[in-house]
Amino acid sequence: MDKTNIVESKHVMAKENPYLPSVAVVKKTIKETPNIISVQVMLEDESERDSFSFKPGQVAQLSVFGSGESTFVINSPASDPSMLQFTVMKVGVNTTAISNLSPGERVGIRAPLGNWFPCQAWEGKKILIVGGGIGLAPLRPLIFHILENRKKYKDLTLLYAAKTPDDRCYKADLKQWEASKDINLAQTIDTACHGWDEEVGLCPHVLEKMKPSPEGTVAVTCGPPIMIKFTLEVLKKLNFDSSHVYTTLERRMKCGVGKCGRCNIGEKFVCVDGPVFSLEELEKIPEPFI
Amino acid sequence: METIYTLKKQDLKPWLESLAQDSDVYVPARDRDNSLVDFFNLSEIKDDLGFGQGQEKRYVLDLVEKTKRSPKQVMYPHWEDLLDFSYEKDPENIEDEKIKLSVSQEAPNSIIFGLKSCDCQAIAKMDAVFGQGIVKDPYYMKRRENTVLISLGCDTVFEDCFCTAVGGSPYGFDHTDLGLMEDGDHYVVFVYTKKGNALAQASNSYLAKADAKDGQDYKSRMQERGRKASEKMSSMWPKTAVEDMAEHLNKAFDASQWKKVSQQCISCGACTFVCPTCYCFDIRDDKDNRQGKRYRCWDFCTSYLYTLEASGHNPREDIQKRYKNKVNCKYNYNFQRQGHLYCVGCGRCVEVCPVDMDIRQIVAAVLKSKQP
Ligand code: SF4
Ligand code: SF4
Ligand code: FES
Repeated sequence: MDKTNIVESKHVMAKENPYLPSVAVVKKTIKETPNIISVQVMLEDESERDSFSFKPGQVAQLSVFGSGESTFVINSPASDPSMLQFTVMKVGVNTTAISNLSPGERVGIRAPLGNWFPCQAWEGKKILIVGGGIGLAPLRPLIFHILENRKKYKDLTLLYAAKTPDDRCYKADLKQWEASKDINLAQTIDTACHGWDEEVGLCPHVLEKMKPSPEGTVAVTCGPPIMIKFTLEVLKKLNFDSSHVYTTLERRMKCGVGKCGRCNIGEKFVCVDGPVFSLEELEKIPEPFI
Repeated sequence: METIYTLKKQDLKPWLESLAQDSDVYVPARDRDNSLVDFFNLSEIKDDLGFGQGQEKRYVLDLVEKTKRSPKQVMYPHWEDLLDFSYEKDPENIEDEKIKLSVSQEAPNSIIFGLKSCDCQAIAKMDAVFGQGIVKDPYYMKRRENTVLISLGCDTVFEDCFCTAVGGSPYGFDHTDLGLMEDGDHYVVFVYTKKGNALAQASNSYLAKADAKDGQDYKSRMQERGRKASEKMSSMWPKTAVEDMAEHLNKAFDASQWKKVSQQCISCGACTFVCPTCYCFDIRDDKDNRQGKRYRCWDFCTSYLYTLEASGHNPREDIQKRYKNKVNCKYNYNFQRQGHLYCVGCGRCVEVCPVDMDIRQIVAAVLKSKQP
């Protein structure tokens, strides 16, 4: 069934105080890889939960009170905003605190923030998604959106790259997608290993080998900065037009609402003008985005 | 609002003291202990404040010197609590620990007296950041709404000033509530806003209305004084074509000059601390046992930590990139976003820098160098 009724995002800004988080309760945690976990939370206040909505690509400031806020993409399907999922790699104080959460604990959420993938404008096109490691997180709600509105889009291809099979996130999704006729899934790992019968090699190389046609195709990529950089180069080489190539960027964010100055790339604020940008937009900014 | 008043110089002290009865009145004064001029809360230093030279007090009112720091902290404090949180056990279910959030903010009535035109312009720029965009900043706005600005025309050009080069003028009264001009044994008081008007009317025991003829005379003298002061200033730093700056800086983004001009910077942040238009902040948590607060504090973009991501990736890892960002933020990015420069030419950053970085020279050098 097509689900197009994602209503206009109710911005966190509808609140009088954009710094005041909503309280959410941890419902479930999922160990994705040895150092990456996903947390599913639900807004505690029922009326807030009922009126909440977001669009694929939008982010949230997630906090464990006492450790501070960090920015994550809401990576669960936008068609069900009652449960919000975030995926976190354990690297710093905040991410460690989030990784240690257990069901029943409270967190703070300021969301939705930022812009989203222009899914509507892409209807009728082929969609090529290239993700690396935890960079599949921002792309996940987009994939769900396309799958839920399958008839509106042409071919959907996902190239997913990870260091090792174990470092792949969302293994349950991958398994389903592998079996599905609605999505072409290609997976690659950095070096060959026992029991792996998919691609081997770095993501940009595999992409180049795949030679996707730019004709009527929108390409979306997210991953570690270095992967994004080389993926974009390959896409250019394959004659993709900058206006049909998108990425979603990460910067340290604090306020999330264009005040604290923190997240700028040139004159753009990632928290307000992004995190989703077309390569065409990015090429106009003199400051490098990687 | 054309009403013009006069204030006898001898009435300045009682006037300010009367205002201090229901407002925090900030005045520029020199602290003789360390010789620094800064804004002080009148009621905190009242008994130690002299209103003229030759008095044996620790502080002396100083309406000539430029204050070391800008008055931005009156509306935008260096540290500020955003919210308090506490973990509380649910009495019905002892296993369940809820979180309680509360916000309390003080926004006292404030008056900033004696600020110069550059600092007034800067406050207008702060207003644009915190009062416009996709959402207003309620913490800043509440303080700002309760603040009245009384500025004083500026006749002295200090070594580091360059307000006219960036679109300002020493008698630019366009963002103040009341504007003062020193005139012999009194001050002439020009009213610019409703707030200013209300304050002037409530001050009728000190301010005397000027009649129409005198008013005209004061006004033209003020304009003349402003013109002279501007001329004096522009003779030192020629006017820049403010509108073209952004474009030129974009073209010069990869200029090789950047490396040379920025390598001295030691990322100390002093320039941001004193700058009246720098507005960046950090948000942090502080927790003690089961309760704590989330607060914000000023931050600065020349710091390595500013853009450092949790993964270790830093998009502006070297000082060249950071300093370039700072300059572009002031003369390019904010111009593209808001339509004005985020530098009012107060020169404080030039004065304070421990390694003598001079933003004026740097911009000039980069623009001259154009391409790599
Ligand atoms: S950049 Fe320097 S001169 Fe310009 S407003 Fe800030 S402190 Fe003053
Ligand atoms: S005051 Fe000088 S050294 Fe310190 S951050 Fe500013 S430019 Fe760099
Ligand atoms: S996070 Fe504060 S301006 Fe973007």
